[in-house]
Amino acid sequence: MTGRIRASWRSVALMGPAAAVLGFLFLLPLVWFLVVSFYRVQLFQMIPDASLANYTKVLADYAGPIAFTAAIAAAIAAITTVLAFVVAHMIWARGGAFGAFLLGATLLTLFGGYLVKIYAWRTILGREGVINSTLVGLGLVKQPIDALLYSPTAVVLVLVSYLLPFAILPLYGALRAVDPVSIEAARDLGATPAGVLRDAVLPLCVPALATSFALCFLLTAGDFVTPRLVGGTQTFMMGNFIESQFGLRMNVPLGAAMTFTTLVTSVCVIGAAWAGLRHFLRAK
Amino acid sequence: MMAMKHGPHAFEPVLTGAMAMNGTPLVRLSGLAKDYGEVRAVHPLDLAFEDGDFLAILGPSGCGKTTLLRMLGGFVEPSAGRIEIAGQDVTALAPEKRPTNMVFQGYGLFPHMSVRQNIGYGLRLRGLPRAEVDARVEEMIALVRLEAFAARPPSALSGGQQQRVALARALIMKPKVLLLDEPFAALDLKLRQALQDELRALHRKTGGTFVFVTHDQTEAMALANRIVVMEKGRVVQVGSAEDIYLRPASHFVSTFVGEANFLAATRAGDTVAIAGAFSFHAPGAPGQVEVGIRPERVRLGAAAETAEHRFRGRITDRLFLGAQVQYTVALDGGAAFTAVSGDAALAAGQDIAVGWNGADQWVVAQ
Ligand SMILES: Nc1ncnc2c1ncn2[C@@H]1O[C@H](COP(=O)(O)OP(=O)(O)O)[C@@H](O)[C@H]1O
Ligand SMILES: [Mg+2]
Repeated sequence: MTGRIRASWRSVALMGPAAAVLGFLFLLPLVWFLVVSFYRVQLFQMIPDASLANYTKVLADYAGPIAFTAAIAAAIAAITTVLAFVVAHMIWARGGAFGAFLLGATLLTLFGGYLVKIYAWRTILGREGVINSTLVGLGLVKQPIDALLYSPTAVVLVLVSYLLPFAILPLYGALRAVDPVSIEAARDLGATPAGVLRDAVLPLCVPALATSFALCFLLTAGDFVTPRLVGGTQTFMMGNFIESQFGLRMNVPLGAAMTFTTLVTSVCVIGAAWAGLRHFLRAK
Repeated sequence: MMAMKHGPHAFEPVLTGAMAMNGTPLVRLSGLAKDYGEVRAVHPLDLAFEDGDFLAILGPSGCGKTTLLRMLGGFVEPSAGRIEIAGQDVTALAPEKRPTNMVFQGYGLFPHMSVRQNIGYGLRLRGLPRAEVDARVEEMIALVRLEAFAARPPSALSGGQQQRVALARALIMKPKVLLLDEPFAALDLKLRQALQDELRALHRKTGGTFVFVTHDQTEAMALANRIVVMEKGRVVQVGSAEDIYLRPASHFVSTFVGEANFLAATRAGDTVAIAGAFSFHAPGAPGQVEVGIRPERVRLGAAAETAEHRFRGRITDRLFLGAQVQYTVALDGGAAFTAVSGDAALAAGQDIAVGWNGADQWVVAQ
C-alpha cells in the first residue's frame, strides 16, 4: 500500500521537470493567446473583452486562405510521407551498404539549414537558374520560365525536400520494429510482396505515418518564410497573414484568432488523416 | 524399408523412402545444395519421403538443418539441385506459391491481429467466403485448444500458446508438407513434452506430411517415424529411431543419438576382429573400425555369464541415478566401459564379468 503511494509520488516527481517545461514554454503562451483572441484593439492598444468579432472577421475574410493553406499543407504532408516511406522502406529492406548509404545521406541533409535549402532551390529554379539556362541554351524555350520559381509548385518542392529527412527517421524506426519472421510468415501463408506490405508492414506503421504527416502538416501550415521567398505573388499562406497581424498591423487579437482558427483546422485535418490511415490499414 | 549402408559409404548421398510404392514419393530432393559464399551450408543431397511421413531432421547446431528446411519452404534459393513436391518441380517457386507451410522458430505472429485473425489470415488471402473461413478458424482454434484466447493479441499469450497459434495458422492451410523449425526449442521441458504429444496427435488427426527440425535426439525419436541425421551439411543417416539408435552408421551418429562404448577392431574380408578377444562376421570396407555397444545393453556379473561376448573387468566408479545405476568398468584389455543396470548391488573395486550379445553391437569406421 505505502509502496504504491511512494511509487505514484515518484512518477509525479519524475514527470515534474518535463511538465514544467511544457507548461511554461507551450501551454501558458497558448492559453494567453486564447484569452487575447477575444480582446479588441483601439488605437493600437489591446483592450480586454469577450467578443467574437475577431473570429467573425477571420471566417469572413480568411476562409479562402485557411482552406488554401490546409490544402497545400495536406498535399505537402502527404507527398512527403509517401516519399519518406519509400526511402525508409528501401533503407530497411535492402539493408547492407546501400541501406547504410541512404541512411547516412538522410542524416547528412539534416545538417543543411532551412534557408540554405531555399536558396539552393532558388538557384535551381530561378530565372538564371540551372533548369532555365539549360532550357534556353537548348533552345527549347525563348524566355526563361518565371513560373518555375514563384509558384505553389516551388513551395511544394522546397518544403518536401526540407521535410523529407524528418519524416524518414520515424518511419525507419517503425519499420525496424517489424518482426522479419512475420514477413516470411505472411509470404508463407500466400501473400505476394505487395500483400506483405499491405497486411504485415503498413498496419504497424500507422502511428509513424500519422506522426510524419502531422509533423509535415504543422511545419508547413506554420511556415511563412518559404511562401515569401519562393511562392511569388499568388502564394500567400496563413503564416504570412498571421505574421503581418503580429508585425506591421499590430493587431495581436486578430492574429491570435487567426492562429487559433488555423490550429483548429490543422487538428481536424490531422485527426481525419489519422482516422483514415487507421481505417484503411487496419487488420481485416 | 531399405537397409542402411554402413561405414564410410554412409557419407554418400542417401536415397530413401518406400520407392516401391507406386513410383513417385511426395517430396524428392535431388542434388540439393546451398553455398553461402565460401561456406557450404548444405552439401548436395538426395532425399525422398512419402505422404504421411513424420520426418525429423536431426543434427547439432550449425549443421545446415534450417537451411535445408528453408529451401523446402522457398526462403533460401538452392545453389544447385531440384525440389519436387507431388511430382511438380517447385525449385523456382516463391514461398506463397508452394504447397508447403512453415512454423517458424520465432513464431512470427502478426502483432496487430488477434489470435483468430492470425489463424484465418492464409484462408482470407485465398479468397474463401467469409463464412467458410470463420468456420474453419473456429474448428482449428478448438483443435489447438485456444478457445479462451481467440480474441486476444499474441502479446497477451504465453510462449506455449503463441506456438500453438503459429502451428494452427500453418495447419489450417492443409499444406502437403508442414515444415517446423525447432518450434519447441524456446520452451521448458514439461511444456515441450506436452506440445510434442499434441503435435503427434495432430499429425494423426490431420494427416499430411510433417518435416520437423531439431537438435534434440529424444525429441526426434519421440515424434518422427523417419529421422534424417545431418553432420556438417551432409546427410549421414536416414532411418527409423531404432535404426539410428541401434544401428548407427558412423561414430558421430553413435554418440550424437545416445551414449556409446567403443572397442577398436580391424576388418579384413568380411570379418571384424577385436585384438586378443573375439571376431565376428560383418561385411564392409576393410580397415580400422570400431565396435559400438550401448551402456544399457552391457551386462554385468551373473547376467554376463550367458552373453555371447565376455570380458573381465573391474568396477572403478558407481553412480546412483535413481531408477538405474551407472557403473564405469575398466576392461582387462584397457578400455573403459560405461554400463547402466537396474542391479544396484555391485560395488566399486569389484572384479566382475562384462558381456553383451552380438545383436546389440554395431560396427563403424574409425
Ligand atoms: N544467411 C547466411 N549467410 C551466411 N551463412 C549462413 C547463413 N545462414 C546460415 N549460414 C551458415 O550455414 C551453416 C548452417 O546454418 P543453419 O542451416 O542455420 O544450421 P542449423 O539450423 O543446423 O543450426 C552455418 O555454418 C551458418 O553459419
Ligand atoms: Mg537452425
